[in-house]
Amino acid sequence: MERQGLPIGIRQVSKRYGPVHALDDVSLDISSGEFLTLLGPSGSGKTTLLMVLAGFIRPDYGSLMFGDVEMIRVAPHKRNLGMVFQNYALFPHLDVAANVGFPLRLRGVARQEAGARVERALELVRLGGYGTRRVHELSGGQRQRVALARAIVFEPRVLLMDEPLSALDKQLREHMQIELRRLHETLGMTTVYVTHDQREALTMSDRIAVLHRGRIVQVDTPQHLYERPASRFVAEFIGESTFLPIEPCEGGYSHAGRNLRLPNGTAPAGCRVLMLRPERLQIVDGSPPEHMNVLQGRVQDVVYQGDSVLLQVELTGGDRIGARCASTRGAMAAIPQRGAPIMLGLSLEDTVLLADDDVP
Amino acid sequence: MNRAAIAIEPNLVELRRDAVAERLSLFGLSLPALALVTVILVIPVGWLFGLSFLADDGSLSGVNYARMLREPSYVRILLATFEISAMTTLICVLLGYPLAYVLSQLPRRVANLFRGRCHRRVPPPSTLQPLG
Repeated sequence: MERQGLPIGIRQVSKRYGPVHALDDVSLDISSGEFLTLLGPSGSGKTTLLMVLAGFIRPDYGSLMFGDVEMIRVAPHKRNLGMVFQNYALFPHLDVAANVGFPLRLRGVARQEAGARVERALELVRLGGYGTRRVHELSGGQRQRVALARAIVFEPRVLLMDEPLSALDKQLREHMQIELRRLHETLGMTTVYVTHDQREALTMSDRIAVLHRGRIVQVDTPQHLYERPASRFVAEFIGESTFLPIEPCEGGYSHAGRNLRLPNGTAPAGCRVLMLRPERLQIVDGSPPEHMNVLQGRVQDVVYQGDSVLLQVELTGGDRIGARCASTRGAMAAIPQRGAPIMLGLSLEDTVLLADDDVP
Repeated sequence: MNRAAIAIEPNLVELRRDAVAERLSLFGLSLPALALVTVILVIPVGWLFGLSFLADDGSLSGVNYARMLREPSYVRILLATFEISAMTTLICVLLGYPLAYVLSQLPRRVANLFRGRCHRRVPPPSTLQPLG
């Protein structure tokens, strides 16, 4: 199973339902063998886009290239792609081997070869020897693996997954995320994955495309997306964040009368808020260091959360923010008492200013 | 659609044509059933309905309808029909509602068994009419 995945080119794909733009002129390039996740709140168009890739939804217009071939008018069953559905969509009247072997049967693969390939696919998803089980005898996680084996058994060069893990409990889901990642690295097929779970997207993807109201608002690596969101919507949707209002002033921006130091010295015009990630704030003792912006306030609450401690801080200007520190003994010893004054440092590279786009 | 517009909205015309073709082919699937219904239902019923507007000598007239309202026996038949219909409906509601409730509370397998029984006892009226 070592074929290269196909690159996918999406151009100007649009789909309207009455007055609603489910997809509004979406263009996106996915490179060969990439793991790309479509992320967005419900109704953002991520599933619609996946269904256009699969051929289950016909867009109003647009172009879809798999490699050098235009696919937008090709019927779903002729696109030769693997698909994993949220509800597994296994055949209840067939056993595991027959479910996995179904794509091979459709393609007229000889029985002996099909048997060997089914067994290999089952081993890849760690279900070797389960071939004779009935589907209803399997757990949710095992069913999802069967669905996955069925999607990869014919070695498709493109694999589509529609929230495949959302029906599983948290622990199993995290385990399967790692498994899917491993499988993707082994097989190297171009994979498009849909989820509304931002942590899942960050864990698994090479790149993430964030959708909002039928448009792609940002496509980037997980780290860039988290640390350099392009808009307030992206910053709010991915990770925890609070926003402080800022005012333009001479040579940059200020918050509560204090000038902000910026990573490159200057920031683009039109910024309205400062994004704060709770875990990027550090407690500062004594005189503030040069490479940081400093926020002063008073501790309102200290919440122990096991892996970390969340501080709720009211800043001198009246804004409330959260700061997160490690729950190690040493770090906890440095946390001021409730009601005590506190100084929080934000390093320059974590100082992100954003325009205040309208967020529903 | 001129050339420039096609370049701006790729595949617009082709996709629209595909959508129409798909709708037509889906409609095509219902053609045999539609033909069957036409032959065994629409044509005979339409023919009977047409006949009701003809007098005995074949001329167009409302004489049949006039007789229906004038002659007491026809009126009685009509009234009896409505009476029976109303009573049947009422009895069905009185029997059916509790039954439906019980079915909804039973385990699914048992409920399906009972439901199958019920359906088989209810031949549709159009099958009864020719028998009566």
